Amino acid sequence: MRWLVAIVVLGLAVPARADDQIWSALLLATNEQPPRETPRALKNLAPSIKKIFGYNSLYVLGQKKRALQAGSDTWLVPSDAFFFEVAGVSQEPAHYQMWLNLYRGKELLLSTEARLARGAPLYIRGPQWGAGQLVLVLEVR
Amino acid sequence: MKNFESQYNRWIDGSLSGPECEAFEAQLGDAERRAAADWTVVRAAMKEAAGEIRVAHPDFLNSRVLELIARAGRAEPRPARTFRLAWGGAACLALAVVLTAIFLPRGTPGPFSTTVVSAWAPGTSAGAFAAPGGRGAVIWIDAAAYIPAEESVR
Repeated sequence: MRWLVAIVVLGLAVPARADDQIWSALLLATNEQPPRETPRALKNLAPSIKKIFGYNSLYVLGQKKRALQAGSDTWLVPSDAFFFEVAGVSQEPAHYQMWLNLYRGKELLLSTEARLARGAPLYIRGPQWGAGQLVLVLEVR
Repeated sequence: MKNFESQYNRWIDGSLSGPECEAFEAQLGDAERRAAADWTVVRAAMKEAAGEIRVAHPDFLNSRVLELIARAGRAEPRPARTFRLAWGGAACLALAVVLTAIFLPRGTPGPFSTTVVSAWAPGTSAGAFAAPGGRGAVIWIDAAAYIPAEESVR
């Protein structure tokens, strides 16, 4: 049974590739009646985001995609207010390992070491903004 | 003694001739005579039971028996057997897929999942967990600062 599970997991998973890109987005999650139509950019992610954070409507406030290269530091700027510093990127067969610093302006909100697999997003619950919840998403594509 | 046993066996089998039988029976005591009389009755009953069995419709019975023998002897056509094997294989595969879907660990980080090694939020705390139903991960910054709606975040 374990072998079967391993075969299925390996079959479904997509290993890291040389031309991978990292997509970053700043989202606003709110509860509205009726719920807002899901933005096209979030068609695949919306069910998970709504389930995790408990909101029924999503807005994309900003998004950016950049090439992901091992050994290079870079900045991901999905919006002018929130951005990521990406450092120490190393490529493994199944994922990228990296340090991520999340800033709001000059203020450091979060420092994390993460392993990002291709097609497996990292969701970050950010601050509340007005009546909504800011959510940051990173995904290797 | 041996001659007596031989004659006794022949008497039991009923193969003694008339005078031989009378001479032999004259040697027997009363107990043997009673046993002989019982044996005569039993032998007659056995002969009757082992006699020819009469069947009401022998031709019909024969044809039915031959038909059953022919049906049992006929081999199953090979294409039908192959077809059945193929269906059996497909059913097993489908069962394996269903069981995999049921027992596949969900929310457990694997080598192809995004995982958080460490997370630190200055002035507050941050926790991490696997995203439900997928390979993603979630970082939850506790008590992150509230941003008034008037401030721009774009």
